[in-house]
Amino acid sequence: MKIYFDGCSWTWGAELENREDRFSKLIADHYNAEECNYSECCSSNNRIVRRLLDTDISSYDKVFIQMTLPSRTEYYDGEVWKQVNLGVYAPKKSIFAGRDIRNVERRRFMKGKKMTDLFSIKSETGEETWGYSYNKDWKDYYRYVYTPELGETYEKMFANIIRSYCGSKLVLTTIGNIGINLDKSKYPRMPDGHPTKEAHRMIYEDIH
Amino acid sequence: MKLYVDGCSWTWGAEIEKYKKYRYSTHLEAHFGEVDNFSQSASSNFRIARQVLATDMSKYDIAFVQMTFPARLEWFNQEKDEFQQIIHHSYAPGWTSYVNLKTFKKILPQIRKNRDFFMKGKTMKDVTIRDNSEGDKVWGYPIQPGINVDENTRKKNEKLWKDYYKYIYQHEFGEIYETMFANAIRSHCKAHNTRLVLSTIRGMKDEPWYARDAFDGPTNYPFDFNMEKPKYPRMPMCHPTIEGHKMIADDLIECYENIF
Repeated sequence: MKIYFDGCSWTWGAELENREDRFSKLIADHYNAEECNYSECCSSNNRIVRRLLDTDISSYDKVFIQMTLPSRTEYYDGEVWKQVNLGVYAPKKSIFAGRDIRNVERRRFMKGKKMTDLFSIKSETGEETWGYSYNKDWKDYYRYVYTPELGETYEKMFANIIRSYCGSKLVLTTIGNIGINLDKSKYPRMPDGHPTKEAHRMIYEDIH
Repeated sequence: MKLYVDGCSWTWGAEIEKYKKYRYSTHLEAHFGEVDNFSQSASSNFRIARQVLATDMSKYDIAFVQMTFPARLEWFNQEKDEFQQIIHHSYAPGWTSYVNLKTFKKILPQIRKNRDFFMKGKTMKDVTIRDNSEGDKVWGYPIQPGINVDENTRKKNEKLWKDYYKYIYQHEFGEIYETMFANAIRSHCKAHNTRLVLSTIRGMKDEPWYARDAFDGPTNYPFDFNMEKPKYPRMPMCHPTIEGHKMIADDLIECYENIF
């Protein structure tokens, strides 16, 4: 039996000392199945769907997809795909530590803030940059172009794509808006906001 | 039978007076049954996929979906409360008058190889937006309302879109997203038992062509049907003529019958 997992840092097991403790491993062990975890830290929903549709899903018995924050996006830099992350759980050192910016009006939030507090760009090779890559246009993208309506509409579109593609094999979870919500206060968190080892076990018990 | 039809200006019937009477979907309606045509001029694949994915396709027996140039994008205009499409130099008005086909074929490899060459010296008209109102075409760049749009800000925003296509957008991105959306449309129709004929206006690789878009070029994706064929007569801005629409409809029906 094979189980397909994808998602962002939550499914990857960020901040865990041992990633054998992540919920995907616990679910795979429960079914005595092979854990195929394709998650990546900083992932956008775009990447998750792009990868899924490039996969022959008939070779998997179950599919657990964790959708992420709709404001994230991605681009191809000519060599690798890079994820653009308008951070919610900003690093501890950030003045936004622990704040959920989804509830903060976008432009008020942006006003006078340093962009380095907001963004990370992560490549497939694992290289993560806080701030901007060679190109600072992402600042203007989030300031002038991106809107919550765009993010939420695309989130629905991606969720429908995932549902149509996976059918009854799918368990859809989220830290955004669509699917079984993992962003619950009952799950204990690590300093940068990811689930603790205990929380991963709780998530496993809730969704398997 | 009930049909779902979507696409860009080709499916909308651009450049044709009384387009609703003569566009190819009207001929499909006469052959198959009632048609809901959701197409919009200047559509991006993002809009087309978004519309399909938001539709309960089980209401439709057949879907004819025409995908467009992958470099197109969309954004949401909060003031107008609608999505608007961003076009990057597809069929620029009258382009055939300044680049004849022989020259175009000659420089195509260079265009594809070196974007800087292609971008150099181009005007803002290379990037346009269009809102959803019929005939209401806006040349310029999208900017959200509520932002203080002084001259500097506007220039900055213009630069953003130029830089997007110059530094961020890659052909690989467009190609892979075209495949992603095409597969998404296929699986959504399959999940709802709707028969799908998926077509392109980009032209298929290794097929004869008439006026392929300079920036996007032909597709590698295995579409069911290619509308970019030299045999279809064109209007000045390269959309099909009334006769072209009839020919496309006949060929689409044949294509459908071959598949199903």
